[in-house]
Parts: sequence; structure tokens; C-alpha cells
Amino acid sequence: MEWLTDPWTSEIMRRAFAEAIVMGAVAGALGCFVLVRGLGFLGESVAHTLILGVVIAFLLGGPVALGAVGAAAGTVALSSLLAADRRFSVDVSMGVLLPSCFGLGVTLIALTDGYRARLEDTLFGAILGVTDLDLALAAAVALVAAATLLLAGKELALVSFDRPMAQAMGYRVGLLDLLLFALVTLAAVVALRAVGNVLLTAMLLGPALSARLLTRTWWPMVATAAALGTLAGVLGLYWSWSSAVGGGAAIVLVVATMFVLVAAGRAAVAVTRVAR
Amino acid sequence: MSAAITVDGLGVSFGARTALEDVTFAVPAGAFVGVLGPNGAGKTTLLRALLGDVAHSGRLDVERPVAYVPQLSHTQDAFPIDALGVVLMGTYPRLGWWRRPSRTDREGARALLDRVGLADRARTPFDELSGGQRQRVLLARALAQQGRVMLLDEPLSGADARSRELVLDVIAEQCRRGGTVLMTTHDLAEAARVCDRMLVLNRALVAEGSTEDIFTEDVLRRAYGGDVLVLDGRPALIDDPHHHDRSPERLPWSG
Repeated sequence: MEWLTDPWTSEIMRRAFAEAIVMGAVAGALGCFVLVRGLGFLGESVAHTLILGVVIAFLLGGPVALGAVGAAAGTVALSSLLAADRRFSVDVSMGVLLPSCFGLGVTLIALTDGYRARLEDTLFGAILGVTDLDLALAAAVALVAAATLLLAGKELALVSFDRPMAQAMGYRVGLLDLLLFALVTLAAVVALRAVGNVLLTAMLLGPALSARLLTRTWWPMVATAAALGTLAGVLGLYWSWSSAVGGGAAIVLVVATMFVLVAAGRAAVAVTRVAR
Repeated sequence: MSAAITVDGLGVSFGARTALEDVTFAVPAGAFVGVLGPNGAGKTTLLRALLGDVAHSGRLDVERPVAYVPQLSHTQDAFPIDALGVVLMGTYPRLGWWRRPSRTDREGARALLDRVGLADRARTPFDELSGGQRQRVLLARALAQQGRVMLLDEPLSGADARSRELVLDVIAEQCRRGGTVLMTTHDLAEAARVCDRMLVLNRALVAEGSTEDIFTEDVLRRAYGGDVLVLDGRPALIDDPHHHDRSPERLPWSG
């Protein structure tokens, strides 16, 4: 049983586990909204715009996590400003912001000698290097997400299922959308630290996709996705501990493996039913 | 009888396009009104204006709360939800922000599913129901809103015969209880059969009144243009090619 307890003896790994558990739950749960609303592109865009905030924070000598939060807030504000114009959808406004922020971020990296070494951390995550601030941020985001889902979860679900109906019922759907985008963006900030920019979308969509195949109703799907995200975080870290695979990559590979197993299981059940 | 809906000089524009202009009518409480008109006539826009959902000019006075059955196409199929869950959504505005539906709400929602003939489908995923069954679930959700006024957008299109009858039964009962129902439809024959009153729109109000007042060649020509035929002295609407798949019944007075 040593393999089970071994990683927990290391302070670095204990922090990494804490980060992975919280990040897995938050990204898993909020990823369900991303999946059913078809907002995969939003996650991807947020990931890319965050780079700019991270680089600016590094240049100013501030905490990288706060830079990411600042960039996230800017992204949400700018995209909703653009989307307020009926001619632009959220996707289109994100499509404008994404290359602009990413391009500016990469340009700044090129101009900053000291940053290049940390570029890999930003792209693929550095879960073994999480700081107290990162953990506090992850916990705060988890609390905000939980409180929001408790307070306005059913309204967010209604908007996700039947937007015109929510509007007809008198809900301010634009504000609910903004709330959802803000939550997804915060989840992306947390996941950025753990699995990095490139793998972030997989963390948002993977557990949600598996959960969709396993459940028939909304809240069980959200709970299942949160559980799968957490499980993937923990299993990924065990794998990373016992091999040379990086933490972020290991977690995302576990997410992908889960999906393949769930999909294969569903297919097998379907085939068995037909065979009978 | 007092008016449940009063509309005075209603106008709605989307940018440069005028969707409705200078529409004035009143609907007494307990009436079942069919809203007719060709594609793009502003039928759905009228419902949205009554819901308070679009910016408009003119005066609108609608008895609240207003229940609404939208067209089917707006729901997200990727969203996992069963029939009972959809009906419970009708209770959300009454519940307020943080409260969840109670056991009583759930029992009420089951009773409403029973009323639309879907008691045994409460736990069936919404996306596994047929078009007609989905329409009935959305009707049950509107009933859960407990509106004095109910607005239905094309509730009969794509529905099987049993669904049509059930939907119309529920509407009739709603009116007997003093509720007021406005239903948009392409089906002139059905509207003539079941509605007390008609509104005919073509961006403006073409005519309003009882079935006999409305079904004249003059009114239908003004609404539908050249798509009206006169057979044996009776007006009939030539089938709209956009709706071939929706309703086989088109020539209501040709026999």
C-alpha cells in the first residue's frame, strides 16, 4: 500500500493534490454548462486570453495567478461589451479577442528574456509548483461557484435548456449569461495553473462529456462531472508521481481514458441489448 | 366581461425592419383567440411583445402572470432533462432565486403531466419524446406557471392527432376556468373549428372578430395575398410550401 500513501508524504504533492481535487471538481461541474451550451470555444478563447494577463503579471513582478484573474475579468467584460451589440455573438467577439490577446502575449514573451523558461509552465501547467496564493484562489473560486449554483443554479439551468423561455419568464438572460461566462472564466484560471493553457479545454469538457453519457438528468450530470474531474486529478497525480509524465498531461490523459472507457461501456451495453 | 388583454397602437421594429405597426385590439377574459397570418406576419412577435420580451411602442395591458408555450425548436437537445424536470421549470419564477421545487410542486407537476396524457413519461428524457409529446410537456410547463393568460406559439404544428386533441382539450378547460388563451397557428381549418375569436395579422392588424367575420375572401386576400382561392363561393388557402411537412389539412371549406 506504500504507493498509495507515498505521494502524501511530500509537501509539494499534498499541495498538488489539494489543487487537483478543487480544480477537478470546479472544472468538471462548470464544464457541464460549457458542454450543453456549446461554449467549447469560450473555454478555448479564455485559455488563450489568459496568457496575456500571466505575461503582464510576470513583467510587473506580481503574482501570476492575479494576472490571470485580471485577464479573465477583462476578457469577460470586453466580450460581453462586444456581445451587447446584436450583430456579434459571444463566439464572434471571443474570436476577435482570442488572437489579439494571444498575439500580444506571445509578443511580450518574445521581448522578455527571463520569461521563456516559464512559458512551458503556462502552456502545460505546473501543478507541482502551486503556491499558497494559487490554493487560496482555487478555494475562493470553488466557494463562489458553489454559492452561485446554490443561489441561481436552477435559473442557469433554465437558460441553458431553453433561453427564449427564460427570457419570456422575465429573467434577465444577458446577466445570467454574463454570470456563467464569469464562472467558466474563473474555472479556467484555476485549471490554467493545474493543467496549463493547452490542456485546459480537455479539463472543462472531458468530465462533462463522460457524465453526459452516464446520466439522464442535469444535477446528477453536474455532480458526476465534478466527481470524475476530482478523480482524474487524483489519479493523474499518482501516475505522475510514479512516472516521468508531467502532472497536467497525466491528469488530462486520465480524463481522456475515462471518456474512452465510458463510451466503450455504453457501446457494449447497446450492442448487448441489440443482440438480445 | 373585462378585457384580459388590451393592445393599443402596438408597434415593434427590429432595426430598420418593421415587424408590427399600429396594432390595436382587446381580448375578453376567458376567450380562446387564434392568431393567424402568413409567414413573417408578426405572429410570434406579437406574443413576445405581450410577454414584455421585445421593445415596443404603444400601450400593452396584459393580465399577469402570463404563461407561454414557445415553438419546440428553441430547446437544447444536449441538455439532459426528463419530462418532469421540464414541467417543474414552470414553477421557477414563483419560487424565487434559491428555493428548489418542493414535494408539493413535484406532485403538482406530475398531475399536470397526467392532464396532458403523459403520466407514464415523467422520467423519460425530453429528447427521447416524440414532437407531439414534447409539445404537451411544454404545455404542462406553461400550466405550471399558473398564468391568467396563456400564449401558445404554433402548438399544433408537427403534433400527432392525439397530441392535437389533448392540447385543445387543455386549452378549452383553461378557458372554462376563466383563463385567456392566444394561439398562433397556420392551420385555418383547426382555428375555425376551435377558436372563439381570430386575429389576422400581416405586419398590421388585418381583421379581428368572430370566425364568421374573419373567414371572408376579402380578409383572407388582404392577409395572404394571391394564396387564396375561391371554390364554390368559399375562400380557401392554398398550401404554403414551407409547411407541407407540418399539416396535411389545408382546404377547409372545399367540400
